Amino acid sequence: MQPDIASQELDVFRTQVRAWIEENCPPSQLNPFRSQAEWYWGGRTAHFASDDARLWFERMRDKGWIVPDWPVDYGGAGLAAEHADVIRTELRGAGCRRPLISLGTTMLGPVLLRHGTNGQKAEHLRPMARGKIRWCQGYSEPSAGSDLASLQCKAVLDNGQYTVNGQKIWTSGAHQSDWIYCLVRTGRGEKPQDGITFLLIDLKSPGVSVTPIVLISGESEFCITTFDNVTVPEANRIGAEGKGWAIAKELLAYERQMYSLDARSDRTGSGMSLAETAKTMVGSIDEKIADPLLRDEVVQVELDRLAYDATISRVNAAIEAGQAPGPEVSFLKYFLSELNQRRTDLRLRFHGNAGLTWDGDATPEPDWRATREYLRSKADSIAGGTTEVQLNIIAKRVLGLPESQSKKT
Amino acid sequence: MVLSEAQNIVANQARRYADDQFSVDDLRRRRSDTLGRPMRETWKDLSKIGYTGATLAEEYGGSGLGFLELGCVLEAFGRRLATTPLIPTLAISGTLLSRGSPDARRKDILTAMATGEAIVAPAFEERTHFDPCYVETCASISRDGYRLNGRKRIVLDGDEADWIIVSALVEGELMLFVVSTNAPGVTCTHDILIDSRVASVFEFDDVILTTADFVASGRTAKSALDDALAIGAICVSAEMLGVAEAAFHMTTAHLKERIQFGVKIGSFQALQHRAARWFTEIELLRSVVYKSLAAIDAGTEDIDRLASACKARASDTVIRSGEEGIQLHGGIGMTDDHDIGFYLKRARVLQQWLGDATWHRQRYADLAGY
Repeated sequence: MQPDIASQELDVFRTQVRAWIEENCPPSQLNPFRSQAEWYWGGRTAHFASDDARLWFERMRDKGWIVPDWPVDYGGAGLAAEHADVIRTELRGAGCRRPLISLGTTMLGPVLLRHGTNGQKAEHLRPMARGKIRWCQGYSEPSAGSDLASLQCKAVLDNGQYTVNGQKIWTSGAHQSDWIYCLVRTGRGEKPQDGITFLLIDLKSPGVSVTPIVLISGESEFCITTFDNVTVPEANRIGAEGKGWAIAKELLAYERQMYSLDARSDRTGSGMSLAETAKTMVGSIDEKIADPLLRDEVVQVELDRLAYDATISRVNAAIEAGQAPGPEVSFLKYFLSELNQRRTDLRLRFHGNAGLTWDGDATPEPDWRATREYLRSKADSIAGGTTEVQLNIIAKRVLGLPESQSKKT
Repeated sequence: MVLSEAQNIVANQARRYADDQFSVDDLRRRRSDTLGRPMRETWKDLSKIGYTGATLAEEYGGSGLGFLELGCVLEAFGRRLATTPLIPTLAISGTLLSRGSPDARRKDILTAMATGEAIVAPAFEERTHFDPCYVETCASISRDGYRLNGRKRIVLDGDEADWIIVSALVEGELMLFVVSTNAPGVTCTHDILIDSRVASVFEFDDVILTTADFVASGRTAKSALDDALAIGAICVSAEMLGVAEAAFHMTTAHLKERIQFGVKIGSFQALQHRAARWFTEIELLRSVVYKSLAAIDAGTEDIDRLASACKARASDTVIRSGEEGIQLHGGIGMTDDHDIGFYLKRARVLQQWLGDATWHRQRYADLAGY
């Protein structure tokens, strides 16, 4: 197709998408989520935050636009990549909330489309896309965090079935999920990555137990998932036995993207901006935050946010122009996590001794919310790839600095 | 924020030109009054390639390019520590004189700027810290026009300027004037700064100005000044981006070559993490600089706020780059022979000129209403 005809056709499509969004997205779904409690995860335990949220989800689901580039049979709209990009751009531009938050559609789904058998695709994709099944991820183990390749959860194949024994830790939402995709060890090779296999496991299987872990913030979204002689059909294996690491790497790349590129649309506001909180809690003189040092710290956080947003725009502009995004994607995750930590810390400092409350009747709710958010934000620089690992990756893969040459005894 | 093909051509051409024409050795030579190349020659050369009128309208002989293009040129020049009048003359004075409906005198000056025949230095500052609102220089109204008295400092390229643009109070009201550096009563003394640039001090002793020298007054003057300084701040941020990049590349190359304890020092995790964070800062600056340059061209309303966001970050990043550059080079980074020290020196000057990071963060907060 001539480039100008193709872009004309895309423009017409864009207009149609915009019109559909205007007609079908309820106004309440155009604001950022106020908290993660409003997210819709799908699956057996899910509930909608509001009737509008349900309406928005059902409309997007039926249009196939939750996964626009997936085949129609699998719950998608069967559209080409450029059209899917237009839809995503327009949804983002309009400020629409994501109707479904799902590890399935964003991470496992793309992997299934590329590596799954027809049976696997038929069984899992459509329920995932339609919000019927909620997935969680089983990678880390108590002894295998940043050093994931050293994982030990064992799976032994016999007569077409795997028997799985071991433990997974930090499985987000496992207590509310239906299925888990796991990395298990089926053998040993030269490198620790050899002998790792990718398995899909039904959490209702006998022998699976899930225990939420209480964090320092009082929340329990992460779990320990224990497998005690759990039987898993061989048909639930993605790819060849012992070749699961490559599949996991592909998934990890999607995970890092998910953390940063869409972070803005999922951003939960705590209501008041940092500056407003400062003025309210610390005071103001002539409309300015009363403490000049705190004022400067507020500006620094705001300017860093501006730079981060400008970088996201730059990445999106490159993608929209059909170019591969540059090396700037490599630092988005760690930078945003540190920025968020500085923000929650500052907000807490504005509260002074009113920011020390865990629970109780004496101080109003917004005060102890800020405290919990500060504590919870400590995980941001650890989960999804620690900052230290991110910096290693930037140094070696982006900057080309040499591998450490540790002395061998 | 993706460069068009045409913009990429401008950027590549600027890179080749800068690699060819400028080197750190120029700065070593410039330290002595007699050995450095006159700015007038540099300016004339730049006019041959169209840079001296890059952002001026075609009616003055300019190329009518945007600031995104000029920014690409400045970034390339920054990498080579090029010393040119581009920002003071073109970005600041050129913008200021082009505003509104320029009279015949201003048109002549702009045309001379585009042909590389006139250097026009902005002369607004009077204190050791950036404060364009602070003006003690004054002009009293006289029979033939005005009499100018006062003092301006840190006027870059002042020693070779044909004209300077001066801010003065006339009966308490802010006014802008074009002053010929040859005019009786104008004295110029100069310093060579640590980055080998020349900065001048101008003294005005009853300098006679006529209405032809008048540029703007009152609100018009204030807004023209604010705009020109905002554009100047964004342009110098583009230059600082180039300076930071070059210091970074020179340093990572060093990390990959230098061997100590039997290994390349770039394999040490502490240095790797430091380099990764430094890389992040530069890329974040790149995002804000390009956003700001594009905003000038788009005629964005609150360009002041963005300019301060940009200059504050650029000032911090360029200083960090100069300092990390020396530290990671070790002892050799402290020698005059090695080029890296000159990046710190240029960084020091640029982070200060037109307002340092603290000034711009405060200004950002003022404009943002907190």
